[in-house]
Amino acid sequence: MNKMNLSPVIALLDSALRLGTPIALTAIGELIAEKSGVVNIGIEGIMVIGAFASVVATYATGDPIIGVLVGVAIGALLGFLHGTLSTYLYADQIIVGMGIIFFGYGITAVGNAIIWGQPGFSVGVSTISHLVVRVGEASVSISPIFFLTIVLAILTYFVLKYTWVGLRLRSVGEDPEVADVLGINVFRLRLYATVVGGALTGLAGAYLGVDWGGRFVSYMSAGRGFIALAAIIVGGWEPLITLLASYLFGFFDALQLTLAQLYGKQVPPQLFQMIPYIATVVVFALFFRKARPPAAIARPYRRE
Amino acid sequence: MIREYLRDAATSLIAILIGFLVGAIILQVAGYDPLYIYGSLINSAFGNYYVTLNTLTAMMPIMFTGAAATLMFKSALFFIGMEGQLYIGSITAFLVGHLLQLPAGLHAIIAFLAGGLGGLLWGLVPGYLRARFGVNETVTAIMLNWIAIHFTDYITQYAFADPKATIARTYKILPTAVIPKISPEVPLSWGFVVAVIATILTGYLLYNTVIGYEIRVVGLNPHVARVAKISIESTYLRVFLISGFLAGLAGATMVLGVFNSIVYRFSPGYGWDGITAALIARNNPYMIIPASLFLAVLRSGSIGMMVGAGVSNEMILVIQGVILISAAVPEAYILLARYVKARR
Repeated sequence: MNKMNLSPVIALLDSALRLGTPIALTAIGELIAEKSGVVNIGIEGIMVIGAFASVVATYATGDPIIGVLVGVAIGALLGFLHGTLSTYLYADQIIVGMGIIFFGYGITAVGNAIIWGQPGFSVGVSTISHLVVRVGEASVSISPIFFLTIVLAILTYFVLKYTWVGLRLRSVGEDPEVADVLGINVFRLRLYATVVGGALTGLAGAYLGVDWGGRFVSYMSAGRGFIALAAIIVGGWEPLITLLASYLFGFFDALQLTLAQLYGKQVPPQLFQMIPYIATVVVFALFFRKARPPAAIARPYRRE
Repeated sequence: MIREYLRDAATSLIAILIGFLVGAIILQVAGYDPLYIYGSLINSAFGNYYVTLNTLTAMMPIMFTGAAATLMFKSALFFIGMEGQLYIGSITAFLVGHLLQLPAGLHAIIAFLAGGLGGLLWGLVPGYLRARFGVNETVTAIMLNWIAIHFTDYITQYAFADPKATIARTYKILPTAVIPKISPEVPLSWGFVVAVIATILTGYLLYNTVIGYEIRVVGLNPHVARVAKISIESTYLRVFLISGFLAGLAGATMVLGVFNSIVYRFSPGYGWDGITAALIARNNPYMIIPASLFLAVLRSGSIGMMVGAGVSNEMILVIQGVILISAAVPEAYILLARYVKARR
């Protein structure tokens, strides 16, 4: 991977793909959960735990593939926790999510200090190998997780739209009472959807840990879970538009890095760091009005 | 009514208990002695006169952010941007305290109010977007938090950085803008007293005024509010204005009453503590006072935990997280109690 011989435009697009991928994975996962009527703002916390778990597993085994699998498994487990509480125990979904965020930021920072004896960041670990694509003179390396993200988004689109699983999922998110009368197990389906959402978020975290960075940094999710929530809303709960929105937000993040590289000497870096968040707010506000959420979103279902 | 209060209090206490229990299990697994760790937490929160003052100082901003969060949650808005408003409030308070020349006393008051105004202005954009167009306030809150944090970094590390300081901080404010201590024997800022009063006034506003009544109706059921001809839009806007003002004051008290400058990332998460405080106080503003004492104990205790026992101070985030998760399932405890009763 030699970035120096890339033209700035290709380098910018390259890092937009890198930075959009964790947002896209999280957004697709959370979209599935939200379609079933469960909102999990805890994805921000699941992402940071997924990143940490993947780095720890890679550090222990030396194999980043195992790191990714562990990240996915931990994500699914946390999705299971959130899903169980918000279906069978009628929890306030937002507060559980908030708790998962605090827990995630906390446990990863504590664990990092215990394992590596230093606060803030881990040692470097090996990352998963990339595919190298030649672009004219230069070559770009692309993560297999990027291709997986695209496949998952398309798959989600088809499953939601054209299969009976998708139909049932949408029906428990729109009108759980009717779905229940029709013999669909609302609780179980919502739980499954939240587990899938957690698993994809765990994958996004693993991507941050053992693909993009190759080390764990405290708070490294840095609000990306919430950017994913914005991508879903901007995407109007449509998987493919959500995917595009995620990469748009990734592009803003990449823009910040590129600008900081080019003009970091003249302009203080703190101002660049604000760019992705400002851009997200602007895009979010401009495209908000079109969105219509699933009707039963965030509402616990009770059988009469 | 009384039953409800008792149930709420019991839920929060059970949640706190579970929080410490899970924390203890994690500490045990990590090879620490949980009792020793919790002992050093309490010790560094109340062990001597000096650390007790530190605990009360930490309680001061949490009361403000807690009252701010309560107003939001009472109107069923989940705006969690207090951390950003706190930082913006610290900047506006600092600018007035540093740049303006005013007589002592008056200067402090105006700088203090400027801090509130900063927080209020920071809440205007998400507030307007939410009230007018229904734009999701939780997402905008997080984005504005990060913008505020990076912008404050720019102020502390670059725009107003004091090159002579040994830590990353801005220049000092003028002595006329400093909020005085209560007395030489009790070196606690008067900001503490103001925070207590502000919390009580928030309770008065919610339970004894028309505005508060409207906030509660909108929060309980927007459809009823519409039938009762209460404007949901303007209620939301009012909540954003008052809540933002309170969160801004949290930053102002720290700048004017504690540091006399903006220290780089001075908030260990007072905005988030306020959210936890509001949730374990079950959105009762009067209960914010004990709840923020509890969170202040965690905050100042976490320093002793880190220095004395070698556990990362983020351990208290783990405990807070478990407390919130446990507090979100009140029905689980009722089901459990019913089950136990039935078994007998």
